[in-house]
Amino acid sequence: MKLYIIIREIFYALTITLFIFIVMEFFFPDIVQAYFSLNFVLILWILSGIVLLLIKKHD
Amino acid sequence: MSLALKIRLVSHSALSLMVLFLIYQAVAPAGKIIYSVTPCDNSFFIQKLKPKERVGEIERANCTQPILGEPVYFNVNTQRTFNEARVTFVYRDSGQNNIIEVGLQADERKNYALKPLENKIIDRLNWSTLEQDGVILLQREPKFKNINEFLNNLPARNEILAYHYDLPQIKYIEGYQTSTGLLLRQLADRNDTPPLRGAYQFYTYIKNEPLNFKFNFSDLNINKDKDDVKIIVYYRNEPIAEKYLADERSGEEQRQRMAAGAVNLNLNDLPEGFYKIAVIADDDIITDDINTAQTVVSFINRVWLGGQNDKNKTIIYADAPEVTASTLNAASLQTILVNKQKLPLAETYRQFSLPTRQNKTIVQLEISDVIISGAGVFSFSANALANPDYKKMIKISDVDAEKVNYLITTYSPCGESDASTCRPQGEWKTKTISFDLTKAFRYQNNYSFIISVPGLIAGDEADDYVEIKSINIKLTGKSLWDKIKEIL
Repeated sequence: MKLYIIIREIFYALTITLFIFIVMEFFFPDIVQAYFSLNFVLILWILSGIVLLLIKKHD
Repeated sequence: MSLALKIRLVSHSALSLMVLFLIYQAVAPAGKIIYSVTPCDNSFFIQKLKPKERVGEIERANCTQPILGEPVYFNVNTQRTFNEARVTFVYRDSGQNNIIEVGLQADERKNYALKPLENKIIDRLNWSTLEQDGVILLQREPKFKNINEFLNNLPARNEILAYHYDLPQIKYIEGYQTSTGLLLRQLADRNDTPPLRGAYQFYTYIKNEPLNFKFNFSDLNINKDKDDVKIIVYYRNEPIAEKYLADERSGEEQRQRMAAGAVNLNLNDLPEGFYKIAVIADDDIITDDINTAQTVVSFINRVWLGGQNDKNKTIIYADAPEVTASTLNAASLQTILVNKQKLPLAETYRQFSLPTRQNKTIVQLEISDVIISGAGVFSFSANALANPDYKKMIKISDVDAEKVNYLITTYSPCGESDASTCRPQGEWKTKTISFDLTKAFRYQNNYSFIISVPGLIAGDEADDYVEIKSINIKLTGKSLWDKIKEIL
């Protein structure tokens, strides 16, 4: 249960992060990408989503 | 506090800090930011030297990269605009190239405003030196006590060499004969000029006569962009007239050469003196002919003989101390005669040069579609050649052979670096140059810089190079508070 909560919160945090970064990039191109690639955030977000679904299914 | 709440607190705080950091870096509220890069780094802000063909492999052990051919470019990406860039290079070179210059792109036509980084010809001179407001006068024998005295009593033209300093142009040609005064206006509507390709600039001279030119253009339609032509007339560096010829857009699909129209320039009641005419066009535009009554038609620095597969012999008169030829057309490869000396144009996309060190040079070509360039003027008849500019220092300048006694420049061996830091540390030199970014061309958040080393050719037999160890850029501009004050 504890692991599920942690992964869920990471997933939520990455969702908000991804959304905010995409909005920032839309209005100010390269403001985020100058420092790190949005692809990494996207990959982490997908991975956390998959892990979350697997844990939920397992439980 | 629940576990979920704790995680949210930490993650949201981290996200907020990250967003604040990104905004702070993009806005640079103090109006200052420094970017630094070595060739090993993959910086978003100072991008890699390009094109790849002109730079060598990065030496990973010392993080250095040699430049093997010139020019090379690098972009500086900034989230906001700045007013000034102080660019510091740590570099060394093989010692074979006399001049190293760095420039900033000034307009969308890829013109770069160059500044000197190193000039070994000046560095080697042990002449008497005067300095005033950033201008340096070097004298073989100390004759003038200050630079104003020199400027007010300029010695003979052939004794002076200028480097990154604009001496006032010569105003009048002594003994000039007006074209209208010649027998029956026989020179009126004269056309000495063969077809020319792309943009060019030339000087003409007016004395009690109208300025009269008729240009006929055609459009090669090789690229599909609009090929407009703009002609600007300058008198003492101020534009006085402008003509515009819009591309009527035909023949692009078939890539057919089409007539693009004519432009008549007729200006009356002009004061005596040199006039500069700039024809701004892209490389699709051919100037088929220039009909004029003017005696002087001297092309500045470069002409591109645009005749396609034209095998008529062309004679060009020049005052450039070195003549450079290049071509993009394999059918134009030939041996050019420069003052009867052979200059083989043996490869496409490569420049071939021959020093002349003479005030009058005759260049003879058998086939057109060749670019002839040099630090001087070029004309297509001997009496059309006149240059109001003083001689400029180039990579092969030799003050002794050219009997130069005065050299005026804004270059100083240390540039804008502190004397302590510009001293070479081993082979490595550190030099700083400032650029005014308000006059720069900025495209997609990028300022484009050029490193020019005349004579450095990739793939030639010479083992010459300029090796870059690091580039540091300090950008300064308006602070956030300045911006707010402007709005209020």
